[in-house]
Amino acid sequence: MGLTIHLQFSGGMELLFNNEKEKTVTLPDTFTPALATLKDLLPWMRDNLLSERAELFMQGDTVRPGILVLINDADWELEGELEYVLKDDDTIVFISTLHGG
Amino acid sequence: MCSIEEEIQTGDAETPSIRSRRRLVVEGLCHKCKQSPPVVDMKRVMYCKTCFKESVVYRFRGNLMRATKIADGAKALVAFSGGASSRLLLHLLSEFHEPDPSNLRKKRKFSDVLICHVDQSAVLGGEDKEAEVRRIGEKSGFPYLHIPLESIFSNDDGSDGGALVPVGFDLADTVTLKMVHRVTSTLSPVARLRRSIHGLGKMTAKEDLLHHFTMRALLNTARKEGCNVLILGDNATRMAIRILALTSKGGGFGLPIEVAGDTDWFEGLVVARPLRDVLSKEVAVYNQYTDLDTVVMPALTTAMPAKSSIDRMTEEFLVGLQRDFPMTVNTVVRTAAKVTSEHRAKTVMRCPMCGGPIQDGTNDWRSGHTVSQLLSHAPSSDTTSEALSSTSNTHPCSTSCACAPTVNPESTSTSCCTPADQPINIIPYLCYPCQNICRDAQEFGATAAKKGIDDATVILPAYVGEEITMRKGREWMKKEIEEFLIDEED
Amino acid sequence: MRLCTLCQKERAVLKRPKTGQQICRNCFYAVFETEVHNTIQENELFKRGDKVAIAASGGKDSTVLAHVMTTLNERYGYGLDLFLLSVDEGITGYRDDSLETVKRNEQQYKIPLKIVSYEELYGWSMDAIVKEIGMKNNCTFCGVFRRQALDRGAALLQVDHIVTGHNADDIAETVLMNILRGDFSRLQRCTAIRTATNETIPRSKPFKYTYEKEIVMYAYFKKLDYFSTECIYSPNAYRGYARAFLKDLESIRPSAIMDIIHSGEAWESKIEVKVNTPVDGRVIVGSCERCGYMSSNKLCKACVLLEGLNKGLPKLAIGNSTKYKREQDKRDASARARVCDPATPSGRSPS
Repeated sequence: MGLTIHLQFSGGMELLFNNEKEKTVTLPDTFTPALATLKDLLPWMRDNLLSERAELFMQGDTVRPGILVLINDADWELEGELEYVLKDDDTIVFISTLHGG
Repeated sequence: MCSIEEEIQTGDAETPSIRSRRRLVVEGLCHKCKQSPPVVDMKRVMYCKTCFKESVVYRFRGNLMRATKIADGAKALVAFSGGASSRLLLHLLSEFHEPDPSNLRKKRKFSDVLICHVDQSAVLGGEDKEAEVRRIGEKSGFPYLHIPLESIFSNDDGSDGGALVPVGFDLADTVTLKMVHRVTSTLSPVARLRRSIHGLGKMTAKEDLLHHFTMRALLNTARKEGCNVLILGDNATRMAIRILALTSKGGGFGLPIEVAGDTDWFEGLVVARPLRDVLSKEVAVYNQYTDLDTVVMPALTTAMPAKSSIDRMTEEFLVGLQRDFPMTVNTVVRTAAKVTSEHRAKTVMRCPMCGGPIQDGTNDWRSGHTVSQLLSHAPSSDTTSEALSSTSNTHPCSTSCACAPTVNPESTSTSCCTPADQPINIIPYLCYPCQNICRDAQEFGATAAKKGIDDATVILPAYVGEEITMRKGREWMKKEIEEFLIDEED
Repeated sequence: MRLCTLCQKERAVLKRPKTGQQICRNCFYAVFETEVHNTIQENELFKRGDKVAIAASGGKDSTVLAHVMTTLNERYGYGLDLFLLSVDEGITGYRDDSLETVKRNEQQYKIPLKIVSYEELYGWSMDAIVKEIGMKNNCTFCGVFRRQALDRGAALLQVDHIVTGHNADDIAETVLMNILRGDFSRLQRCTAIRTATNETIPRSKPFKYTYEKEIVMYAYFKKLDYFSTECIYSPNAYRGYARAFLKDLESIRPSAIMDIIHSGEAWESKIEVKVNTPVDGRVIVGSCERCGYMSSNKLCKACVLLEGLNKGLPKLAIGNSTKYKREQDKRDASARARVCDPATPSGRSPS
């Protein structure tokens, strides 16, 4: 059984994800527990969940500037950003702070 | 040519080593209380949840208490869009307004607080979200006012004030926008609002006019309700974007009013921005930690490419720069706060369109440094205006005019047959950035006219025309009595 | 055929970058030159009989400036005595080639040329400096050295005034830069058309309101001979952000460059910035005790930089890097007070 991750979207991010504010996903087996990171999760989200244009979500291999990420309620900058290793039952929140979001 | 004349200093101050050395850091703990693990990283200072929230509240209260222009016991109007910043503003203000339980006799800063939501849905859509905005607003316990943006096309008493409409466009002429005041009942206020925004053509101009209209609606409401203060939810990131964008649109002269924590520029009203040093990231984090619900309203350039408008472009630029240099927003806001201009000088007039200050000599500056007509063989303005009146076929007394027989007889307040209602080029009466808005309109209108689309042209609320007429009147009066005035300097 | 918007006679051959108007070649020359003339007149940049040095790099801005200054001087009878003044920084493959262009300009416009080199003034060419300190910060040296070199060249020519080819894009970009890096005092003076203190020769920018694109266009249509390589040591990352942003703004609204300058002018400090401190009501002008150049400190910035270079501590005067100060302390305790004083740059945002 793969990792289960709770995703939340707000501040306009939900508009990019089928207007869903919350979504719990089970990641496929390509995500190895204790190894898979946020860097792996972002492109997967882009390819499997995103309903709008990708450039509104990602820039390069990270999120577009102005999108705030919280991992279990903590700023992702304190959690190693892209290098954060995903754990089962993690809650990851994406909040847009942009007007032209 | 190499433009480097002096030494260059790049973001040395940004390096973490320099910043963290200034604070006593306990590794792995909040930089402030040094007890709990940190959860937020703000400009490389790490806070725990409690300390972070305290710091936001502290800055908010500090800004309000320092706002010396706000008299104690003032009546406040809070602008509430439903978005993240104004949601936080509402939350902090209701806490701030609560009586102090330890000292019940202590006077509160504000005697009353009203919430004002300007409904822009006529332009932006999202009517279905208005109920949600109202629900959140009313939950605060403050009286909630819903003001449709199109109300700026009506008089104070709600009656029809007419509108300023253009009289023909000439493709070669990008420096005039001739308009005439019409009392017309053919277009509903909503239709007028839409035409005034969409008749501009360019997104930059649309965003600016929408902003001015919204401010106007807020100021009107505040005055009507007898408020002394208008509180806006502008956060630091938004302010930094506005500072750069306004600079890029030629609005440097009025910038000090736009960045002030509190300003009394708007007659009889103080405009305050207590969130001016809270980053948009901090707003988002605070709202998340406090479960503050917001309503996402689309803006004009939402999901559009970065280059769709100056504001949109500036946001993209600044937010990107902020990621690489986390002090950028604060630096920009702090620098702009030091800027001064002569907008308080006695000779300074107010712009009929945005209410901002008009810099002396604006028109000469523009014509001297951007020569767009050649004197020797210019298509003289006389022939142009003749051409205009003959081709446009909109004599002041055509169908939509009050003095034309077909139109409702009760709107006789202003008739276009009086000399005051002759077509007037409005551009020279506006402030520099508003001139840019109208030049966009002129260009767009001319192109549309060429294609035979004449209902795509901009119209403006009547107050713009009234204020120009009043000013023309005053200038004429002053000229008449000039020689009898005693100069104070003598 | 599309007719020129301005004269309604000739065929329009270009879309004017500043206004978007479609105009003919002659009307373009006319508006371009008239705007420069207006700028000169409005600001009373020169007096009849003034000797004026045109800072000439061989690049597009200064080449067009030399042409336009010559043209306007004749057309409007300014009565100016013009010179070309070039600085040879000693950058192989860049300056040696561009100086050839300046030499040709000397022939074309019949204006006398004076070249001053870093090598002869300071004993160091830029190539040698880069070899010593690498690519980072070399623009600091070049900028400080160039400023003095122009002044010294102008003093040798005994001119009353220096004009430089800084254009509207440069100025708008500097306004943005100064906001972004929080340099308030420079923000207040970066739009001034003329810079002068009591001691230095006044400098001005007749192309203050002239778009870079129009300078290129002017050179293209007039077939002016210029050297078009960027300085090989140049790119500065942070300035690059501002430049890219400005180009994007211009593409959204062509007047943006003018609009930014208009904003900047509204903030100009109305009080003349006092470089020198008045004592008993008299301004005592400081001068560098080593080279005699105007300086508010004991040593001028160029001499501080040179001292670092000559001692093999080139980063000494660039930032306030404590590491280098400490090394300096060890080596030369007595010189410390004298040298470190002026090293604090004003361009830093207080943190």
